[in-house]
Amino acid sequence: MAERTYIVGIGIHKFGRTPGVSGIQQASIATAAAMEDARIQWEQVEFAFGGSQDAGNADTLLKFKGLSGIPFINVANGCATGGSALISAVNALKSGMGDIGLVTGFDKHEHGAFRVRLSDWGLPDWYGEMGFALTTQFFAMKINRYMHDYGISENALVAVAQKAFYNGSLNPMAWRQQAFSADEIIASPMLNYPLRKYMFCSPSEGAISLIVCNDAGLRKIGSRRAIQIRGCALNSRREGTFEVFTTCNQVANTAPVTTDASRACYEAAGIGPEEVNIAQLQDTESGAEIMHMAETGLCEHGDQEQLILTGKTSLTGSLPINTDGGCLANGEPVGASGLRQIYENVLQLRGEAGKRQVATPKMALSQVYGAPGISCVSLLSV
Amino acid sequence: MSKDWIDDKVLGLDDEGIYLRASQCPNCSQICFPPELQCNRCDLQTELLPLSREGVLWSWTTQAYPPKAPPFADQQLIENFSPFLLGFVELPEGIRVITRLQNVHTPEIGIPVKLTPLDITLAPNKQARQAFAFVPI
Ligand SMILES: [Zn+2]
Repeated sequence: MAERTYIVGIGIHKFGRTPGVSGIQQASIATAAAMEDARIQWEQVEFAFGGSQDAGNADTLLKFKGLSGIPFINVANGCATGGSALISAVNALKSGMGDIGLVTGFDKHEHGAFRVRLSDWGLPDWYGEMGFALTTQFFAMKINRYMHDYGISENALVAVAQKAFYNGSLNPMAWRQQAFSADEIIASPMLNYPLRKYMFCSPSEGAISLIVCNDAGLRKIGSRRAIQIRGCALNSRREGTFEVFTTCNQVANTAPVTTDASRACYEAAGIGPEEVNIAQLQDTESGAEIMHMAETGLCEHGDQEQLILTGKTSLTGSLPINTDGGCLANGEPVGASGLRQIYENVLQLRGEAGKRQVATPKMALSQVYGAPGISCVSLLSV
Repeated sequence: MSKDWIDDKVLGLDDEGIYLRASQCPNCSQICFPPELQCNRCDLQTELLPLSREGVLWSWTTQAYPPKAPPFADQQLIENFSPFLLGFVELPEGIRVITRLQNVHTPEIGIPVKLTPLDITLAPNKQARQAFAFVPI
């Protein structure tokens, strides 16, 4: 049997905007909280993986925590930076690199939409000159087509946003803690048809740290409440799928990258989607949550409308989704966003999610999607 | 034609007007827009393929606020922004390409569209360069 791996400590620095506190300082605060949660000292951390997109090298943490000489590997993989750090740490635990490790993700972005360096993505200059270098356009075109193909209405887009801000209002660590009515959401300006202002997330700040270990590490720590990492998979896009930051795509029936990553993760965990009780899905805008519900296998394509409008994905429903308010209420600090989903799932599985706690979940899924077509899926269980 | 292309790899001109340039692999027939020199499946040198000027609208959206400049460089829209439309058009060659959309407000998915030139001024006081858009037929 393959070695088991666990999350034994979690820490967060509040998401949103924190003037005067750098991204790396936020990571340091989150790391202190994770170590306290796991009841370990810095000297017990045997390796670390971490990263940010715009807030510097994670390895700088050593300056704050102590120059202990451990292998500290900086990870840069766009929206999947956090997930990539976690996968790397899991593999390090399994391969014997160490028994107790740190995973950290943090970020601090300038205001407004992300600025894109075209050459980083292998895109020609005219792509940006003509006004195509915005990820939001991709999500808008994908959901516009999806609504056409599967009969999803604008009501579902509104309901997803309404749920996100309501859940955020119950989350003291969220950036936006104010609920909005459906009328307020539908009255907000249309930015990228069919998506309105209150259906989008914005770049923000925040940090998450996790302490992970294997069975030997668990014995060293003596933790009483470890959450098991059942599976963690990262895939890149295949030919013939519709992806962000592309000039063209082949007409084909290839499964989307999130479906590939989900299948790999279910297989690693030895379970099926019907066993999932709670999910955190990439919701950079409300359409993404809808599409990712089906792409992760949690429902059939087209069933989302009914599930969402009858409250099945709300905190009290049978499959609560984005229980901490998701990207919509937390914003998207790229390096921290994927790990925020893991943090929330650990809280929920432990029964420590306070006002937004859902009824005794046993199996929790998280999923990140990012440019230029990568997806990371994780499964955690009690 | 006195105007420069926005990128001469992307646009070509024949008796019927401008066309989009793609590449096609002589072995597996894979098409790429804009053209790639090598096929990423076969490692063979590709051939140039002019794409059809007519297709159907696969999906679309609006851009209601100015994109960050740079890389956005359409001076008329930077100085006096008005929302524009963009989409992916499915062509008979079995490929979908990104494009601006003109002469339409809320298009239906699936409508037939055709290629048309679109002037873009890339720097203040400079001559316009020719880019491309699709319009409903
Ligand atoms: Zn080929």
